[in-house]
Amino acid sequence: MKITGKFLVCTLISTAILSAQTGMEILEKVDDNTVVTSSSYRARMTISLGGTIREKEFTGYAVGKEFAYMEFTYPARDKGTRFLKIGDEIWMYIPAVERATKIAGHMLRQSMMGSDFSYDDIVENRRLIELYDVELIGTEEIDGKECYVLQMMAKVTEVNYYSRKMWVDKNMYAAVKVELYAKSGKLLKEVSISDFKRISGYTFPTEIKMINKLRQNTYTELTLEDVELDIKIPDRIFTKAYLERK
Amino acid sequence: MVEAIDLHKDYKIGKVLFPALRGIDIKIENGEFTAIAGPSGSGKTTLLNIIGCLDVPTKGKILIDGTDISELGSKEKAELRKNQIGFVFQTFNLIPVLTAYENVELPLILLDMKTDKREAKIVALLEEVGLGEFINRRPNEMSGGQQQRVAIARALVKDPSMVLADEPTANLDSTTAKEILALMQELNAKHKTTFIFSTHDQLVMDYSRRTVNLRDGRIVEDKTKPRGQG
Amino acid sequence: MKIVNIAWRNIFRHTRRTIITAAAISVGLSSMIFMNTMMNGADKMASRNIIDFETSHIEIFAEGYYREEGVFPLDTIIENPASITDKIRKIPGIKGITPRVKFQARISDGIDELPVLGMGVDIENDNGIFRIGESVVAGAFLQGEGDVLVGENLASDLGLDVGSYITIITKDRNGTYNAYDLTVSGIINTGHPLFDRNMAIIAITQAQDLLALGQGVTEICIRTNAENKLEPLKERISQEVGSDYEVLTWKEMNAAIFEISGFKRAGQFMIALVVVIIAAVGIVNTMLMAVMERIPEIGTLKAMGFSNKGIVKMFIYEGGMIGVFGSLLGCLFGLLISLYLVHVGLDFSSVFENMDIVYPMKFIIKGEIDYLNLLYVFLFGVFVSVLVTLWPVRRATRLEAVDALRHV
Ligand SMILES: Nc1ncnc2c1ncn2[C@@H]1O[C@H](COP(=O)(O)OP(=O)(O)O)[C@@H](O)[C@H]1O
Ligand SMILES: [Mg+2]
Repeated sequence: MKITGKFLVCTLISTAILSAQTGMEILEKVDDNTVVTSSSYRARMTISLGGTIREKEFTGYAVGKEFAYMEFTYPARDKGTRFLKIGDEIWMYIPAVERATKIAGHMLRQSMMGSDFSYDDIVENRRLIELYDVELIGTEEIDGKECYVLQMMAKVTEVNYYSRKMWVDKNMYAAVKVELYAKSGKLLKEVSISDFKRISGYTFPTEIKMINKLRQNTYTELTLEDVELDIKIPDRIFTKAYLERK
Repeated sequence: MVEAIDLHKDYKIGKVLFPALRGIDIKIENGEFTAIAGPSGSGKTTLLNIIGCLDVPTKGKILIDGTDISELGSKEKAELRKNQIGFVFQTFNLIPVLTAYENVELPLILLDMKTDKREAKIVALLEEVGLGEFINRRPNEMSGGQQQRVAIARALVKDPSMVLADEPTANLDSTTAKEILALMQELNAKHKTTFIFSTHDQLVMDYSRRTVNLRDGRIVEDKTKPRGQG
Repeated sequence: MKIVNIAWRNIFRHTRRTIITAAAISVGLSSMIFMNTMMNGADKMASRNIIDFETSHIEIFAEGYYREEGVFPLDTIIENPASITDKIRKIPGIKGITPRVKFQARISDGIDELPVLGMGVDIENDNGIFRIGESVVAGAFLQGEGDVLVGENLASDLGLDVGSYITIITKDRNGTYNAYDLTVSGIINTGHPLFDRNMAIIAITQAQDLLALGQGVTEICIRTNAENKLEPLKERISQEVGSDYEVLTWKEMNAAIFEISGFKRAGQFMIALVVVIIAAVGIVNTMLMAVMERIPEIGTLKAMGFSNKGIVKMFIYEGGMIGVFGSLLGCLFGLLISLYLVHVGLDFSSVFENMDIVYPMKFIIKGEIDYLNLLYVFLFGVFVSVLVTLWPVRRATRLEAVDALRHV
């Protein structure tokens, strides 16, 4: 009885250590896959809200996770609306206003251009491994793909989502589905990635679907095209002067 | 005594000077009952206004009891009118919102006089002009003759040394005119107040002892009937 | 008889003209009184709403918090409210103390998501200081954690009833998303737009949990026995709590609102003034007519020896009498309208339904009569009447007696 007990405890501990390491390793690989030196793309955003569907298009540039620039090209109403991200700051430029405004504080919680993405989701720029403790809690099949299921709990205080659950494709080491939770444990958002492209050695997500779980009948699909990675992008794009140009 | 010496009055009509009085010399003793006669436009009103300190001559002097009134300021002239001169007008000029009594009382507002004494005087005077029963009537409730009687009482109430009446009967029928003239004559005799009145009516001249005829601003005749007549 | 008597008689020469002139003045003045009553009533209501729902008499904040008014920062809060409450509890004149937590949040009913101002209240104490409990029109006040009170307008915007579920979502003081499902325990109608349209009220403990505040609160609200003399008490509290905290009276916190109302007052006063000016033009016209039609009379009086002063006096009395008459009438009208406003009030709900106004009050405005103002308005009416009479009367004085007499 005694021996059995000891054995059981040892087994549990070793399993925990093993799975923890595995979880971290998996997350590390996922992180590596998403951190590209630079990127440029064209994106189509399909916003579905209560049965009505709106489409928007923008082009984007990014360098690392620090700098990003987006400019809407469609529809006419949004044409010329631009966003600039530098670190954890977001600036927005609307042609009618002719001046960039900073999106800060509680405004970051708001929906971006009516989509299920909030500005917060765009600001996020740290490697997940730095923010969360990870535990591999099992494997599941999603859309015919074998996935690891990772349970992540915040290990630092300054984090948007207190916990996450992530499904990672066993072959690609890329997240195919992520659930984002509030501190209270309430599910806030669900992200699923249905298509990836192999570009310049990366497994890059090109079809991303975001669902705001606090609202019913809503989702936003993001389709990326003409993706180029690890290319040279002029520094001047990530300046306020460029954002505010006429 | 009123004395006019070489009295001239020019009116300016546009750029043209119109001579209304062209050298009037006249003396009127205290207590006289004098008519200034003449056709319309001959200068009667102008002359009376100057005598009554309402207007100033262009040239010449006017002396009242030896004082040259053309040297007086407007305040002093108002003072003189207030105390010494009573006016009677062709159109009666009563204040329509005031009763006969109140109209007569009007000049006394300007003079310091005890209320009871004032009242006695007004009532007596209204009785004297034959309006004892009309004390509380308003002008529009009285005939022309009655209104002119109120006006005469109003002119006399402050015991002036002179009453100036500019065509007092011109707006009255001949019977009434006669009555008014008789009244003035009576009051002149009784109060010893100088009466100077203007007229272009022969009838009126019949009542006056002295008639000064004016024509184009000049005296053409100054006729005094012998005593006992008129 | 005196000149006054003549003036008195004169105003009845054209009774209708006098009445119309006086009526014009009275319309001007009564509209001034009406505006004043309205503005007083609105200000009083706004003050009541602020005191009874929003700020109480005096509030304590962590130093620097209030300067970021409207941001509701969670990094400058009162970390240990109990120590503050203990320090000031014994100060005489304080009737009650309650802590509150204000925060920015969004609420969702599963379909729509709206930004709201979240507020955590001390369920035991809040109703001794504020009147939210009395404003519950459906359901009940908060019973505990998991309950939420929402305003009537917010409830109708989201289609909420007592028992409905909503989710409140916000970021805690570390920036981490936190959300709770809440049950609507009651619906409130305070008359304060902020509370009726934009507020979600929950238990303070739940707010502290939601925002990771520990024991911390954003403010401590104090009700006193001396609503009109708060300065000495404020000084006393300030000394007691020290310089790490900022103590503010409700008046200080709402200076801007009363400044706006000051502007509105000035604006409406200007409108009323225009009406009075129109009335004054009426007097000028009436008096000018009086002078013109009485020129021969003026001549007669002057011939009698009346001075210009006497003539001016007569007309001033006349204008003054019309002024007094009109002003009395105006004050009477104004008072009647005001009494109606005090007892019945004016319903602006339809006007303001879709308007985003910041003025904290109900849409049925009840008036508040300022009797001293009534007196001022009366004197103003008489003064203006007399003043504007001077101009037409000048014409009478400039006329020489001879010319006046010749005038037919
Ligand atoms: N203010 C005036 N301006 C110009 N002319 C005047 C004025 N007053 C009187 N006159 C003229 O002076 C003349 C004498 O007028 P007036 O003394 O009124 O005469 P009467 O009284 O005898 O009719 C008249 O021709 C009249 O037109
Ligand atoms: Mg004449």
